[in-house]
Amino acid sequence: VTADTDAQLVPRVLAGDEFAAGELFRRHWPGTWRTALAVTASTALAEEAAQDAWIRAIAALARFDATRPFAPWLRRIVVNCALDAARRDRANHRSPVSLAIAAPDDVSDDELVDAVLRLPLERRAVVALRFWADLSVPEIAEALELPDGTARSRLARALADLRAMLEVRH
Amino acid sequence: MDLEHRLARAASTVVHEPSADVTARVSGATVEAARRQSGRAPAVGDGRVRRTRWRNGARTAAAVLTGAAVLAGAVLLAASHRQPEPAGLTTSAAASNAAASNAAASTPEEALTIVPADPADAARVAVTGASPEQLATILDVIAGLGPGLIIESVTLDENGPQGQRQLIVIEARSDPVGLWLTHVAADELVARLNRDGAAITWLAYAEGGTTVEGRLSPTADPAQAMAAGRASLDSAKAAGYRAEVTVYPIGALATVLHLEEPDYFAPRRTDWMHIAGGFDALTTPRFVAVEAPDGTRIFTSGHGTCYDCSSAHVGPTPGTPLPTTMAGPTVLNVRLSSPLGERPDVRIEIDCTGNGANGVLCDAIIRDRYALFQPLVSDTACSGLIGVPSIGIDGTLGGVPIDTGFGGCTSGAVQRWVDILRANGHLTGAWATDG
Repeated sequence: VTADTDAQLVPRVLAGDEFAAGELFRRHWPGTWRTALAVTASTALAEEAAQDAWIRAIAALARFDATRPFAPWLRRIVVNCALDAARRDRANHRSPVSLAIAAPDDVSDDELVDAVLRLPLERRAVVALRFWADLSVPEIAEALELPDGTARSRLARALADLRAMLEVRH
Repeated sequence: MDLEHRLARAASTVVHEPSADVTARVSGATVEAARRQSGRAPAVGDGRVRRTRWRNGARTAAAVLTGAAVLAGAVLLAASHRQPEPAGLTTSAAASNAAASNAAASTPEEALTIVPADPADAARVAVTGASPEQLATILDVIAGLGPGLIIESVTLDENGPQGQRQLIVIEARSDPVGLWLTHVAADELVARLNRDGAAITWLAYAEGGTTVEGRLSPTADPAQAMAAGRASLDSAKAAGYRAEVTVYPIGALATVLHLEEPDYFAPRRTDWMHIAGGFDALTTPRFVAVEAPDGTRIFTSGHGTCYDCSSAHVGPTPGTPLPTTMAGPTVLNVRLSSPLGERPDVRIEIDCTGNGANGVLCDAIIRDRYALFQPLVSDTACSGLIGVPSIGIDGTLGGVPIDTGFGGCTSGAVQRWVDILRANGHLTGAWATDG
């Protein structure tokens, strides 16, 4: 219904304009979902995280700096919510052991995904955001509120961990 | 294949499109969060006629009345039989009286108001960072908005994002017309200042900023705006609408279309942007509004677009009695359904012809009929909210045939119907609460 910028939509959402809220959601929902799903690797957790993120974002909208782009701001919230959800899920269900899987050329995609999910959460997040949410390293750094160099080195360490895990069986 | 490529390929294992029901649930939760958030904002309206939710920013009664006072002085000559109301104001006796005392249209029989340029009010705007030549341009553009303080301040500096040269234009008003005029002036300022070498690349308002696109060029052309205004009046008359047009010397115009009963419930045309000529906005900046018989604004377009604008129903205000042209029976069939079938469909017959149990509900429907049966614009796109129930209504209202419906693009109307049916005990079970 509108070609307004995100910065123009935000004050309208704050004023109670449901069309503006719907438009803002429509624009950013696909990215929200991809990010939440990449980090959690679970439809149920992604829904929980995405919904939590949107509600938190709306609640914090008055503090949003409208001179800055909306998407990275929202992504930071989504990533935090997704990490929280993944952390709770890991505490409840996932075992940190049994890292050994087949070599890259032998493993299925499911096994590779499982290996990523067994990484420490902060390393898993950078891998998921880089390869599954298709974010650049600077975008990952912004989402995780890290210096670029830290995000880059964390990604390198995560890949090294994965390689080590995949070589265990050889 | 190396590990990084394998990981990227595995994305399809992890990431897939959201299902419709997930999208609907999160969308619904988001909109509900926004609704609750806005619930903390002050209610809008003049307290006597209605409550109106504008699209752009919170509006207070004080802001509305301030706007009324500002625009009351913006009209030139005295009208004879009917005073055209300044565009962008809610209808209020105070505003109309103030306007009438100041005022008027140059050609009242055509409801065309020509606003004069006002260099004196322009000189009240605080301007910083401009050279003497730039200051002259800025004041000339702002004078073209007419009397009253539309813009509070204008600043030129190098403090935009990444050190960009920016123009900051702070609005003095928060009503739709005030915001629209501010943006018209800001675009014109950027175009004229950049034409003269200012190299502005960032344009900021109180509500946020945006990059300046190279396509901006000066558009102010009062003669063209006057011609467009007359064309707008002719077009509205041909479509059966009473219209009022205000032409601003900056070369912009505001068209307000009025609907009367019983046509309100089934107007011949609702392509309001076309009727008002709004699609030539690239050459003539334009504000378009459509009003219900009582002045409730149901559509605005200028600084953004809003339809289904009127918020909650009138509430304790008595409302306008049905006109004598609507003395027939009121019998309505209402069908309410949820988007994903999570609640059972509801069908309700509301028979107001006797002295039955529907009396209170019938009174409420009559009272709030402008919001409950508002016509909808047909030439403006809407992506719609997901997860909003849909409602269909047919039958007669005061003998006038009704056949309408609302859904994701008109969620406000849906909510009003749900509220009024719920308040009168016609919704039970899963429909009885918002859950």
